[in-house]
Amino acid sequence: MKVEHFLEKNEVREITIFKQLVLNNGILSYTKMLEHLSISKASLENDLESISSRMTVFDKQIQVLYDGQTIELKMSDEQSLQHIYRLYLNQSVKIEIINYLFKHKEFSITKLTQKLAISESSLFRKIKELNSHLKEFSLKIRNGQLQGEELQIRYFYFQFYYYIEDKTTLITSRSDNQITQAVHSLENFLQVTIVPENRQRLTIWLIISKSRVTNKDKKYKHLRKQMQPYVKDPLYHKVQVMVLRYYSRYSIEVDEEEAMLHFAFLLAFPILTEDDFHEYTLIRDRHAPIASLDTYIVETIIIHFKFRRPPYMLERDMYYHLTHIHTRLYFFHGDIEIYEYEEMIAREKQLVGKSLVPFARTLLTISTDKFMSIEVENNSLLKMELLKYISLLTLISFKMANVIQIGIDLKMDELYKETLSELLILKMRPINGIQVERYQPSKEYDLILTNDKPVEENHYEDARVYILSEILSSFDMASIQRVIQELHT
Amino acid sequence: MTDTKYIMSIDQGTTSSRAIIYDKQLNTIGSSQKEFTQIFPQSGWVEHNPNEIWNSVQSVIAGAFIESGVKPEQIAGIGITNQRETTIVWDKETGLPIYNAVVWQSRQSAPIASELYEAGHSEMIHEKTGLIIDSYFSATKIRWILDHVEGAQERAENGELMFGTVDTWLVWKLTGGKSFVTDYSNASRTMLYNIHKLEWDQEILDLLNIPLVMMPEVRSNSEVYGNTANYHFYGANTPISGMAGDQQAALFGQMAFEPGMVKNTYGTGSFIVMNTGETPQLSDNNLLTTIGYGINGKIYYALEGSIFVAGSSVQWLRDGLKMIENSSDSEALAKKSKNDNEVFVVPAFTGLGAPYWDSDARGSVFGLTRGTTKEDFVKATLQSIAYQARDVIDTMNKDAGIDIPLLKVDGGAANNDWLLQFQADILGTKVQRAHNLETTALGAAYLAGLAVGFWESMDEIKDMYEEGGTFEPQMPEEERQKLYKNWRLAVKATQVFKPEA
Repeated sequence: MKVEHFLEKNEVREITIFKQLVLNNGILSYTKMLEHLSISKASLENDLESISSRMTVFDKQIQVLYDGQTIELKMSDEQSLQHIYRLYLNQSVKIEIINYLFKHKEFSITKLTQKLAISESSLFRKIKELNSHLKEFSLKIRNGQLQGEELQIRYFYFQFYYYIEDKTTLITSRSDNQITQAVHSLENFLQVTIVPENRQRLTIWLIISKSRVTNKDKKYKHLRKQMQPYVKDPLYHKVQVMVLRYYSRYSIEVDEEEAMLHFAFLLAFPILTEDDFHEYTLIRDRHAPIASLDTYIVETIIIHFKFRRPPYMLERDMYYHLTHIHTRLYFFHGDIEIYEYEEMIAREKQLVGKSLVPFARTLLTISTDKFMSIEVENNSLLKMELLKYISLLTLISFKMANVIQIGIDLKMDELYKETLSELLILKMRPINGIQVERYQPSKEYDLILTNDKPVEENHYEDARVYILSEILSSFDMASIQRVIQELHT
Repeated sequence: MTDTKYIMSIDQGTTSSRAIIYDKQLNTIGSSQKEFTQIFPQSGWVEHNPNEIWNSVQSVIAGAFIESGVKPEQIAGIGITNQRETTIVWDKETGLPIYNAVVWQSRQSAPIASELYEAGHSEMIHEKTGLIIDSYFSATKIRWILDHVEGAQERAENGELMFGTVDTWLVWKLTGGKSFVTDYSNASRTMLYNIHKLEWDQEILDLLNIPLVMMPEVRSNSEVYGNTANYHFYGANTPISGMAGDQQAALFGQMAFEPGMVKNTYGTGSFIVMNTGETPQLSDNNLLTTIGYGINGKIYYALEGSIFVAGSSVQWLRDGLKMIENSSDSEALAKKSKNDNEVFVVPAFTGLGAPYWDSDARGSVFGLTRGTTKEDFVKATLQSIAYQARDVIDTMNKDAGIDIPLLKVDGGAANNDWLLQFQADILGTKVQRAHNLETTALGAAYLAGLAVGFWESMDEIKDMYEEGGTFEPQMPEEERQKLYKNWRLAVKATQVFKPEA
């Protein structure tokens, strides 16, 4: 599910116009924009007019200027694309439907059409559209209710309020003493400290849980099955006792599965700090496949990178992130794609080279095979967890990277040599873990970039030599990155 | 491919855990190693987190599988070898250790050992266990834990706590809490095991107020102790079928199956173990009597002597004196020395062990002249390793009354040809280096493989032995006697030097 799925088609187009402008230094020709959107010039003009009228709320802090030839974005430093997204989302009917469902748990068509001031047919159409996207969460809006497994419902609401809706508003309006006490109880009972950012996540989850806890006929079939191996887990045991004690304070009778819901959430999202989590990893029960999968994947990564002795803290860090990834894959399905998947993949490839992406895919396959994950059509969770694997691998390769010394030794006219060397240095600046300079014969290098093959084989001693085909060409740049990656590992 | 079977050896050492997968021809198919945290709560105390040890073992199992491509179900049996004496006490119900693992080197229970000694229990304990009272062994460590963890004594008496050395802990974890066992070799290092009657000694247990109920069942070194819980072995229920403490595993790995066979592992210190056959030989010279291994219904005893400073003296040359850059440089330098072996280094940095037992002695150097070079000094340091080994082996010979036809060697310094030639010369005995120096892991693999029929018999294993070089004594007898006499003189002089504090 994507953020855009909460918007209407024309709204998505308008957002795309902003995105394209941001990606192109704030200015784009009509031709290029039309090419990208595949619409007529008249439709584009309509969209731009709509944008202008919407942007009035920003009081000239965000403006889109267009003259039939070019489109230009003017935006003050205090504003960003996120604010524009928020504006559109605030006006979304689909979001209002989800909000209404969360607040009232069920609705009648009459009430909702009145509340949203739309026709019945429009409401049905929007619910139908929402249902097509909720499918990957195995959820459905039916008979005025959000139906599905309780864990999936809470998980969806969590994603929705954490990533889509304005979380600050939710926390301000719904958080109360009970929620604050619940956070304190958790801290005391588990003897952990929850840092502010994680506290915000936990608060949202607890608000959702509080709203859902008294619902009747909750479904737990998948959760019960997945929790079977956790019966003896020491953390689960603590959560179980804590949940029962907490709710008994308010004379609320809860299902035994309530603790399971909290346990799954606690492990799937960064709530505990790395230190606290490490304490748990030392004692966790390995009946559940997550623990052994974490170990297996960590060792696979270590062997892949040929690390002789990865730093202890890096290994701990790997466990921390991997458990979150694996817990999500184990318990949940569906996700809200807050990042543009393809764009992220392309960006990561640029940063760390192509080889990490297929390796991340291998890791994902190992995990899903191990969990025998339920096949869910268009399961965005798989995409998002793949991105997380890639990010983790990137992080590891950065942390483990030694600084590679690179010397540029161009054989050409002195003036060209100096200029092109500087340009090459400039172009390589974003690459992590390298130090580039013009070649000095007295120094030792790991890599030499030259345009002329040296006559003697050991002219550069042990340094690896890369012969440039066309200086500054994208081919050479990609090849150099590959060589750097190889040298790092 | 899936029909091919392998043996996995888990070598849980003092600083790291390793897993090695062997095929039937003893080729290493895959291996993995992981270090874990050393905890030093106070000066002289060394502890490990038992769960970190356990997690490191889980990691190396995974690493060996990934590296080799072998599937868990292809493992015919698992052999475990471990750091000995290290003591773990845990809750039977929750599986959580009640205190860190107290490591063999740790001295925190030394006052308890002193009390036993002063109360006159030395002879009784030596006779029954073959050991000399020391905090090194598990007995005083258990007492220390029961004393220092609130309510532990009561819980132990109620049968709520379990004690184990690392082998017991790992088998208990790997089998999902189903097998609570140890083996003869590890039991005989606890100072609680009667090596004659082959049972936990009630008198010593009572003396230390350790409830029998917390002790594991003692089994042979080669039999199926239980199967791995599938969630602890990546999906397979594999038999754990071999177990031995590290030095005994090395003895077995060196195939020192006959009485009189001796192995020496040159590590930081040196561990020399001699197979003394089916009757225990108590030492008159403070060597330790221990169970080497028990297999096919027979028990083979051993004498054990250790040298405190062996490889660490070469580290001292490298890190302390900066005479060499790498430990491996010592061989080339020793070869360059032109003197007539008149320099003697006595590396008694922490005192002298068997047969001198002088904890107040300190290192010394003799025979220096204006012409002494760095090469001479390095050579003398290497020679000290060999001289000390002879000290122990001579003592063993005296205690057991068995001739020693061959010394089998392994460990890091066994790669040093010059050292091994000098060792053969000074002993007047053939020295044989194993081709595969990982004899500890190999020993555990043999024990495991024999129990599950992976290898049919010890004869089959013997046929597979590959030596990595034999060093025949070449030194004239007169020269040997002269040098060793001078070494004894140097040691004597070292012992005389006791300056005022």
